[in-house]
Amino acid sequence: MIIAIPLLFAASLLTFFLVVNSGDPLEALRVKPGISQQIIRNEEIRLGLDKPFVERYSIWAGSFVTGNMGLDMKGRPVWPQLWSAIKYTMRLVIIAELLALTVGLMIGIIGGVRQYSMFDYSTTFVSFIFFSLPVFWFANLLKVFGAIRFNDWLESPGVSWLVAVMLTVLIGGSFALIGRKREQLRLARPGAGLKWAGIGLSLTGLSMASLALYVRNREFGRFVKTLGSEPRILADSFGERIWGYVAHGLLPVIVLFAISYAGYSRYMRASMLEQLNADHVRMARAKGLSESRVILRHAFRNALIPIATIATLSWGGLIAGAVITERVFAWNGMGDFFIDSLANPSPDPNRLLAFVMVTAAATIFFNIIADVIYAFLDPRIRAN
Amino acid sequence: MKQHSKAIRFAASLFAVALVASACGGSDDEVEEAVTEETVAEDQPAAEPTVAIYASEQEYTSYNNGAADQGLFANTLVLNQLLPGPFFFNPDTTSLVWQPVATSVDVVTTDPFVVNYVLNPAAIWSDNEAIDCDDFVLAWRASNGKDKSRLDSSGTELKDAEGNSLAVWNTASTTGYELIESVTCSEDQKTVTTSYSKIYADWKTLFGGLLPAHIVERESGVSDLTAQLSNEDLYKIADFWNSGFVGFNARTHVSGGPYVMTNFTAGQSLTLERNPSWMGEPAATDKIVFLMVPDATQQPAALQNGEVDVITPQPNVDLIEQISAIAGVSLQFDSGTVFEHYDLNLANEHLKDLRVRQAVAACINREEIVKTLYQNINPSAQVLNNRIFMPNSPYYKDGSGKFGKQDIDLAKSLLEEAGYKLGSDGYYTKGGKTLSLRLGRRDPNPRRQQENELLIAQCKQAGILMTDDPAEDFNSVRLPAGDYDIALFAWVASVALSANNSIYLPPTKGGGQNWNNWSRDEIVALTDSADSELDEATRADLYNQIDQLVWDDMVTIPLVQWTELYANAEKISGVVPNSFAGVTWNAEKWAVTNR
Repeated sequence: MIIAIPLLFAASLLTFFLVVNSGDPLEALRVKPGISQQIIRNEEIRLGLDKPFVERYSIWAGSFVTGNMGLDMKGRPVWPQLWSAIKYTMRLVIIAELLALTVGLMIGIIGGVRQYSMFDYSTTFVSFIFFSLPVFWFANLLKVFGAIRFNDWLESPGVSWLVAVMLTVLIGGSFALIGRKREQLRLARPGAGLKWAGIGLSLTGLSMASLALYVRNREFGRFVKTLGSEPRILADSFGERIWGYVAHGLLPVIVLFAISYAGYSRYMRASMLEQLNADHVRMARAKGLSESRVILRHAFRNALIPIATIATLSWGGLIAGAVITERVFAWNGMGDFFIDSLANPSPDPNRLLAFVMVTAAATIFFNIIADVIYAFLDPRIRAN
Repeated sequence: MKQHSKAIRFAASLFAVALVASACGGSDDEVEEAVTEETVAEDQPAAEPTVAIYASEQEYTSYNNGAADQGLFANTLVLNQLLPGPFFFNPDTTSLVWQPVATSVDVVTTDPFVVNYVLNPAAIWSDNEAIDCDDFVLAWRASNGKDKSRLDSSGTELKDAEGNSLAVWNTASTTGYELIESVTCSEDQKTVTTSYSKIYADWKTLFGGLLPAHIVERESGVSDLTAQLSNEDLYKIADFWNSGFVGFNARTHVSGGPYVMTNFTAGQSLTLERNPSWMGEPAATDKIVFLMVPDATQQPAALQNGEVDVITPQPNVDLIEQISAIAGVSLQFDSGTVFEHYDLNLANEHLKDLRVRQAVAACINREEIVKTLYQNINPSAQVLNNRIFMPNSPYYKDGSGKFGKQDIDLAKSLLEEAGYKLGSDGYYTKGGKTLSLRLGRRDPNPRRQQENELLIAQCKQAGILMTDDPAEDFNSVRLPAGDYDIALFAWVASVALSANNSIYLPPTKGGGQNWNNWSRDEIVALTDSADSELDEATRADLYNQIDQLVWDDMVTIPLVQWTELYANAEKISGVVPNSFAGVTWNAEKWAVTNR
């Protein structure tokens, strides 16, 4: 806990040093015709550019410790802007990360338990695709297919016969494969996939039919949005508001989810495998415990310990914003706040310092959370 | 087997239902729906407000664009529709009295120079207070530069810890206002008389974007700012003027224009709604929304998805291709007010000789530069041949003469005349020194790098050695310090012609931005007579003489205007480029046609 204070101090000092030595805040003013030297001088005094480094830093630090983050270069108070950025980032990150954590852990466990199965191979394949996706490219691709094309389709919904037939083959086929495998395991009966294909097709048919009926009776407009974190004009009714948030949040959440999920599922799988091969699990099995008890109590619980480190650290980092995702989707969170402070039009010391302080504090905070989680998970700590 | 066939039949029939339902797209239902919609429309007229959405790259910050720390083009874009002024400027810089605000504006006498504004008796702010004389007085007080520094109650100057005096007003520019000696109000407050210490020819550009003085009075607790003010009251007013208009507050941010600001969510959007108190023709669209899209590369997708209607990103080839591919979008190019130019430093041992400067002007092939780097974006981009007037102005005049086109032979003969000899390495030398010049520019800037690369190759043909000389702090440090041989940067043309004076006047006589060490006394006389000339055409002629003098001495070489891009969904009509005031200059005429 105490280490937090020198840590924050060092971070602020380093950041301040970097910021004041990068770029001239008055450049735009200097090359504007008709601006007198006196005005430039006034601005230098107002922003404290004429003062030595140590003095500027102590002025900033003095007001920061009293809870005042000061004004930015454009004369606006920093804290309300930062607070709004934190809120928007949290909205995005919490949803995407919770989803990624849940799905990632589940897939990781199954992948570990059923190593080298069809399921394991296919999820590994998908994870690696997500892992290696360039965010910027993926986000733009999503905009084209997930928003623009999809909205075009929503405006006049319909499925061409070709797509319908292909879907039928794909879905029916995969159900048939799964079914075949299951039946074979039990009875080794040839042609057993047909029943499963039938079930798969009827489920697909039902859902498509209801979807088609649903879509036809509704005005979606261009539902999925490519920009912004909320509707530009907030609707009055609660339901419409929620829909507005969903429409704006859908694509960025998908992007963040895909990236984080890939990581979590891989780590969880590796950690699970390690535990399943450990002596204490073999011991548990030898004692004749049920398989579910072995997996959940003895393997899963211990496998979570490294995941707790990774997840809390990654949450701390995500408070700093998902820079590219936020930029592409014009999501006014911390990442966007950071870029804006950095280069609009020149580095803004008060904004950047406030940003660094908050993210550093968040990282420290999540480290503490990690410690608390270890205490719950680790049997050695629990025993103490 | 029986079981199987049953299941398959069931699935097939369900699937068939689904396909019929989805694939046919409900052509018969559409007719039904259309009918019901029509009947609804007859029952109650369309209540849905019309909205035009503009994608803004930079965020609005403040109502007070005249404050040094708050002046931003992003603010101009919003304030165009909110703050009143006596004149309305067209994109070609011609102006007319803005009738909803002022009924007549006259120059009463020229010696002394007195201008009379008669305001529209019906002109009111959106809180129904009159737009009147005190608004003019506030603008003048804030910008006349007379209140030098803050005094304490005993009359001694207040100082901060370092001994700097404290400014009263945080004003960006005092140009013009400093010449106004008094602003007097009539009894009914609707006639404003301004008298100047000398003729100020750009007087029409003053008092644009008036701030509501009654708000300043109310918020600072000073009852009448047109009266004689104690220092204490003056500072209260200045304090509110300096910082009170930052952001948005419905109580203080009242409008005197066609729209009124109703919402501002930082980082998200800003909403203007039709101002019910506006005295002129009501705005065509109910709402104008400024949606924050800081990353210009994301604007075309948003335009295509119908999330924004008007975008003005910085053009590049990819962006233009992307926008051109969208159906139902119209694209316009405009040559803007920002122009690139090369500045030659007369302190340089080579460039102090006029013939060397002319040789540089003769060896540069501006057409090639424009063709290679600008016409791929805007096919109608042209070489610029005037520094004061842009080609869309009626007063634009090409003064380049024989230096308008590349002429290698001319360059070579000029150098030989100046005593240079062609060396064995293909470069001219004089007194053992190679004619070698650094091309200063800001780094990183890929376009300027290419411009310099082209110039280096062009002038090599004439035996002049040039090298690219990039620096990150070029514009902020080296340029003002005169630390360059040839500088490549941009100026912004202004509606107020006198804004150019600081660039071309001798450094000791008001040329604060004349970093070339160029000094011609004729310029002083010419600007003096131009700025006291009220006839526009005569004045423009005088300014063209200044431009000609710059050509004659070849101190700067204008290159090309930056291209501006305007794209809008075709359902919005009336979007007209204007690079001085920005695309929103006529937003009150934007109309949403279908839907």
